[in-house]
Amino acid sequence: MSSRPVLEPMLTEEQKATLIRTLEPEALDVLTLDRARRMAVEIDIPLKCIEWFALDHGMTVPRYEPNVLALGRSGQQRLLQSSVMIVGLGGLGGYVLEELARAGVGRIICVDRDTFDETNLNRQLLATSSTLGTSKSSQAHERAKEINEAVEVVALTTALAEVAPERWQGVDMAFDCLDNIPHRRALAETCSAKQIPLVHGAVGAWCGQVGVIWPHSSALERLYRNCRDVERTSVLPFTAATAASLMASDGAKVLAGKRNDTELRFLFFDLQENEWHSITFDDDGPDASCKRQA
Amino acid sequence: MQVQVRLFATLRQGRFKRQSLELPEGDSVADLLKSLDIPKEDVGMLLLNGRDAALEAPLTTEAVVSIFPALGGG
Repeated sequence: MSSRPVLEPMLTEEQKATLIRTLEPEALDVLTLDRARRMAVEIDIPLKCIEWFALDHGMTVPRYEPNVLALGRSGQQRLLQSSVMIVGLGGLGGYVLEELARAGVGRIICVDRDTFDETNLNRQLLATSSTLGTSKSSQAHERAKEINEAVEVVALTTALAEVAPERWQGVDMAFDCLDNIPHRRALAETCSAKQIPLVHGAVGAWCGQVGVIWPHSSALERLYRNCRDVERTSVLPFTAATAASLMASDGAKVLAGKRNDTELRFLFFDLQENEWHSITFDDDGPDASCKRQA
Repeated sequence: MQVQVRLFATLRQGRFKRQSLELPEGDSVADLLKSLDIPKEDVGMLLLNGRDAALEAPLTTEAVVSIFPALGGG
């Protein structure tokens, strides 16, 4: 199995022809945000498609230039072509959204049915004094558009179980930013059925664990085989932010084509002790391991 | 039999970080957890000789068991 998702084409032939007619006479080296915005209105093509085309034709897009140095043009283009679903917009989801929008992931579906309350203020990026009582998904939409208007953002104020099947159409990857194990299991099952990778992240107090769960692997079951759920625990702000950054980085790596293996690799960190542990699960399941061990 | 046990994060509280324990022959990972008074619901990743293992997995002399706490928050 390849770790690199096959992405939808960014432009139709007609859009390509329009962009060639519009951009070639100008012979631009740099496509500024201001010029791209005006062009999007003039020729009625989404901003992210114009940015993708500019990158494809060797132009500098200043917003993405710091990314391009590390990801390459093609990696940045792949991000713009990508579509992801973030499930849960609390401690993990808020930061994951922030970083994916800045990275330039082209389409982000944000799922959470909750509103912000005071217990969210210690760690949730989108929770502020002024957003208390408001919908998490609406705040996510507003924030992502404020960061990067080229990103197509879909906000769903609903529980995971109520996300309509058509909303999954074209989704290349999901992010598990949930806060309980039964919902994590349900999301992993959905992703497996839809054959899309799931970026897992979970936190408690000073500790976090992050990794990519490939479709049809039993990794989530193996992470939680001993427990039905965990009690609501402390989560510190830096723990949530650290885990979320690792999730965004793990996801972006796969989407941008910068990771080629499909190992089941998890990172467990303990910020109190400053310990980092990389753990690789066997691909063939725990039963096989046990038989060999015996 | 001697078994090397490594505990992580909150599981160290009131216990230890790493220790060599003497256990009866034939004990499983579940028996080890019981002897350490660690409820199985508190266990997340569990490695036996570096590979993920089930509670029923039997222990052998010089086995290395690494036990991480279950994390579920977000």
